[in-house]
Amino acid sequence: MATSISGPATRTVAATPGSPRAAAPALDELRPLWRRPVTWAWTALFVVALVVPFLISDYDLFKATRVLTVAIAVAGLNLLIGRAGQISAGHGALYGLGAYTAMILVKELGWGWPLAVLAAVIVSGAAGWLIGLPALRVRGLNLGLLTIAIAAIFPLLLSRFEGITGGTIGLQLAGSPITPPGGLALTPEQFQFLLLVVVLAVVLVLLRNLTTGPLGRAVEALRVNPLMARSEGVDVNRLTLTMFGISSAVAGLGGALGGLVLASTVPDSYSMFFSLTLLSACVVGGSRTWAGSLVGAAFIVYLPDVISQHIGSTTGGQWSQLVYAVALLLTLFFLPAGVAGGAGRLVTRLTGGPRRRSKA
Amino acid sequence: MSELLQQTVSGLTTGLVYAALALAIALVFQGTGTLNFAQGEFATLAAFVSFALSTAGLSWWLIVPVLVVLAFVFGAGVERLLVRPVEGNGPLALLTVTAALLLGTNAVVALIWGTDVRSMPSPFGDAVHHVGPLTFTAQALGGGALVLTAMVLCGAIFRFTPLGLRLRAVADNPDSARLLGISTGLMLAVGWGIAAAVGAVAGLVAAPTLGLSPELMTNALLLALAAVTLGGFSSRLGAVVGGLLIGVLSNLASRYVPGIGGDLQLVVPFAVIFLVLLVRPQGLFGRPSAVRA
Repeated sequence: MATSISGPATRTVAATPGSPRAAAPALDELRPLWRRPVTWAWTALFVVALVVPFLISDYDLFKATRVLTVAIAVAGLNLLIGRAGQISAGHGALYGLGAYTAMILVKELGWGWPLAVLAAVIVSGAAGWLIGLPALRVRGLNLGLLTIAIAAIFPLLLSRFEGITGGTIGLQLAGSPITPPGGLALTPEQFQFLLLVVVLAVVLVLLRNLTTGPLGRAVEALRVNPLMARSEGVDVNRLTLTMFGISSAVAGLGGALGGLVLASTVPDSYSMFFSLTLLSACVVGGSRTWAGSLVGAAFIVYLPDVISQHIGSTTGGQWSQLVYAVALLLTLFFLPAGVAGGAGRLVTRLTGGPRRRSKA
Repeated sequence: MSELLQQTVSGLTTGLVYAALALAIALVFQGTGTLNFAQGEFATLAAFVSFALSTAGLSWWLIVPVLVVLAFVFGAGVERLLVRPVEGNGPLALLTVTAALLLGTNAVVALIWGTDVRSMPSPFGDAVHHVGPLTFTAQALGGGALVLTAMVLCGAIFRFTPLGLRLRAVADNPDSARLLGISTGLMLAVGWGIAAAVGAVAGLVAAPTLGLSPELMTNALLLALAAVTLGGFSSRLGAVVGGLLIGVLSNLASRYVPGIGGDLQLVVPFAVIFLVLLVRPQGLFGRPSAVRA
């Protein structure tokens, strides 16, 4: 794969913001900087994202900000599913854990939001590490088993420990603590969107560099053939545990920012079905492309709105859930690389580039 | 003392439902090699179908066999149409398919029958029987007998019939089975069908006690997963024993461990999964799997 040539190229690519590994990384990295379509596409997207807040309404921005917070969590899931080859059916709970941690710290202890977000990332990462500890000692489906259990009991624990979590009503703030610093002529929505664009860009660049670096090569080896990886000196269990920890921390980051932007967290938002919806976003978007996290997040955030407009809001939730399920099945059957992965391959084929064999 | 006994016995009767669901999960795991996250939702669907059949005026003597046949066809059909296409794509894709089935089945049930909790009349009437110091509802006795019959039948099919021999051969070593002329694909579909049928009986028995809603088996799924982990994924008997143990454990915990109560019963299966994976990953009855390099 792209592993042998990525060493020196990584540093130059990392200098431009928002250029994560996308459809055809191997080709892209071989070319000089001005002939890298994927890098240019990401840079263009980043620039557009910086202009968008001044063009659309604050309500639309609020929705778009939610897409970005979910996209962070899906990117974390991409790392786990697409790279490490492990599944999590409980990332919704880790997202919720991030949200609750940040909200409690801001509301009850009066912390500033940046510090609260940082703490939430650490708590979620540590929780992920603890969950992974028994599951990853033996390979197999144990992580799936344990994460779906986490997904199912997390909302129950939230409702039960009312003293800290506010029970079924959850926690609410009068307004989002993420406000533009004095001197910046921005509405809160504009500031939040721009902040999330930058955070997502940083997360994607970090994850991309992580997966193209030595750690990424080890993970790639592990996913393709655990036995070979082990014989090459990769500590298989520790590596998978590290990946799950990082993935959980990233999900917690998305949740913390999502919770603080919304200024509200309720247990019902983080049910098992939310976890499975995130899984759907990851696979439908394309678990081995970073662009897929954005596609998947947009899919699961906007679809319920579209459906409620056409069918009505009483059964809208169920119809969206059905569409997630059908989309997930169709992707698995016909487009294993996901929407973004499939699109990338199509572009490569149309532009006449040599075909890259890849196992999704 | 008699209360402890009563709690244990009622734990056993609820445990039978988990045991049946756990058996279904173990059957699918042994054949296809994946956890079926949707096994609980299949059972919920079956419970709703039996509710619809009984409101249509069918007698329960007819409903049970009809339901078992329908569930078998449904399970086998799902395997053939939705699981088979991704079979070669590894365990990750298979597990994702079952997650999609969970989401989809839950949505379909909620769309057809709504999300309100309905009370379903017990097929066995509302009588209460006393045996010595113990009290049984007719539902618990009849339901327990029904689930037990289903599990014994299932076990007998596997143990004593030529079909069962083929099913076990495919579960044990699919490549050798294929070389011996066994249609592995057909056997996998039959395995899913039997699993869905056993699960359907579990759903039918659980519904009158728990109340009929799309969330009927959500908790039961978790308890059943814990049961299979405890008993060992490679053992059918282990799954059943695990289910009974989990039923008793969670019943006793909610009664005697302060702070757990009814709503946190789910902590028990979670703790069981966590501990078993940590201490004895192959479960009580399972064989540790070894990979030859």
